[in-house]
Amino acid sequence: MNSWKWTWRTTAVLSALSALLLAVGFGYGARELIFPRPNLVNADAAADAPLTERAPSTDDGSYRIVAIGDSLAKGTGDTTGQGFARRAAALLDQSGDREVRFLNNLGINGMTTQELLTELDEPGVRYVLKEANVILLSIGANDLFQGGAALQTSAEAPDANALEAALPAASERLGEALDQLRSINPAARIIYLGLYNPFGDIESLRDEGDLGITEWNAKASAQIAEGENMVLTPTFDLFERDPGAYLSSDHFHPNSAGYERIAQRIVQGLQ
Amino acid sequence: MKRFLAMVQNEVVKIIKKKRFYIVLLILAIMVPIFSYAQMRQSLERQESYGTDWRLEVQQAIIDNQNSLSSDRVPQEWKVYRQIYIQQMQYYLDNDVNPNEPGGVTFTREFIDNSAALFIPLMILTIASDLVSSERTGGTIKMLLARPVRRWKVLLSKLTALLMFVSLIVVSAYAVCYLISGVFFGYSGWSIPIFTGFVLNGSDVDLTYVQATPQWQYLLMQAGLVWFVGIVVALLAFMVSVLVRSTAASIVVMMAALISGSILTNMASAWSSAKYLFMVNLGLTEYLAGNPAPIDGMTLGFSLAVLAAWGAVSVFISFIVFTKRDVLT
Repeated sequence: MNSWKWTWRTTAVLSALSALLLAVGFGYGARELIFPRPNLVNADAAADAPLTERAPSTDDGSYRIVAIGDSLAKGTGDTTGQGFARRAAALLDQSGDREVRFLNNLGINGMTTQELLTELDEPGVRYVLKEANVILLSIGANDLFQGGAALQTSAEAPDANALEAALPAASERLGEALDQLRSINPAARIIYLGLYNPFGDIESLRDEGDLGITEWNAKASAQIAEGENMVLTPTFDLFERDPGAYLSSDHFHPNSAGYERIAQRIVQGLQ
Repeated sequence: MKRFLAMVQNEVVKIIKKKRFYIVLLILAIMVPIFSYAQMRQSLERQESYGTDWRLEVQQAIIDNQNSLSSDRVPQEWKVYRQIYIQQMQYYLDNDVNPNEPGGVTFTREFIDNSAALFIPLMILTIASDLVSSERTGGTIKMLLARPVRRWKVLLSKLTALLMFVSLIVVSAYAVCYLISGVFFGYSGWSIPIFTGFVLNGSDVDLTYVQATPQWQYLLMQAGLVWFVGIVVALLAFMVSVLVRSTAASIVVMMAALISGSILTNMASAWSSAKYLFMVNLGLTEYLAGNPAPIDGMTLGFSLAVLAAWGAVSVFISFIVFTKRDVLT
């Protein structure tokens, strides 16, 4: 009987202490949530986020790859989901001369040059770009073709006039984006993926599309030649002769084979 | 008073003798290592793809969620949830704070967050559900009521003993979780900052109230909220145990209510009057973490009021029924 007395006493004391602790926690939590205090200190400090002050990482002799840009960078249309970025990393890894680390794929479906410029202001994105020494950039197609959506949703195919109209401003923003990338990471190799004509299999659009894209690529080429440690990897010819074989079912994005061919080009340019 | 304490003591000893509390501890001691191991496998796998740099991982999570926002196949409510998630992760990243710093304390926080609405209430049911009904099934209720004590005192002593165990269960869930997961992840992490006070306006997150709370304070607040939920669940289960003759039926009724609650919170955002049901209000810790409420118009104050009302009504019913009812059978 005595042992039960002790059990009771310890239980009573422990549960009283627990209840006290939990009641304090409850009161504190409820107060914080029902009457939140505005955080004045943080609102002022928002401008200089701690993350932006981190220095770029030092070179350790490995490839550290980051992809950024539109759905092509993301790999939309690739049934394995790898895209050219991961495929290029895998090919580099196979060739085996240096260690390969694929850091991040920052590609976002439907991204335009304008959205890319906003994205480049994000501290997290800047941090990732600083960590890399190979930056794969794919951008511009959505400015010129409105995401290829016009091809599927409306009967009206994107016409050459709209493409011509969008080109100068978009091209300027590409230049800005390249400058931004350079200033974020002065040492990394920047590889810009030239555009191809996704409408090669549509007779009426073929020639007009070709002209517009050639003009875009030429302008991009000139901008890239001005910058340091940048190249344009052309993809135009890859999809010219037999678009059906290398484009996915949406007639806009490459399929797995198409991405593989782009990846091979990137690797050749790096070695 | 002394007499009443003796009655509570008697009830506490009965609960301990039935070994229910040991079962709770045993279940925790079995479940926590399983979850810890699963979590460890997951973080090892993540480390393989992102290395040791959590910033890359968080940035990738942000991008992945942004991509899913543009997909037409994703339902609108999920998009709101993801937009909120993106903004919160962005805040962590901008401030260079790891939202998932591995460690025993972080694991405990996440484990309790996930078990607050279902698992911990279930633990409480193991003790609460047969408190009165077992006396009736065993026939001991006549002995209990034959003593020269008023009936409401008998019931109050049972209720007091139950509430003592609710506190013990919540605290021991934390203790067991911390002690066991620490073996896997280490025992550190008490002072890691956790951001609280994300105020949600639709899919926008208002950052003016965000505070960096040390993790131990977060755990304290979380435990308090879990405790409140636990008390309300205990009161409801207690009422059911008074109303229903068989212990099995009493457990099933409460289980069904709890499980329907976890299903409803996942789907019922369109049925807005569901917010007055107690079982959709059990996720109090979600408010602390800054997650959107399952139904529009729910706030912490609202949920506390709803739960308190249900708790009060069930205490009232328990006492009325217990003092008035014939117990000849």
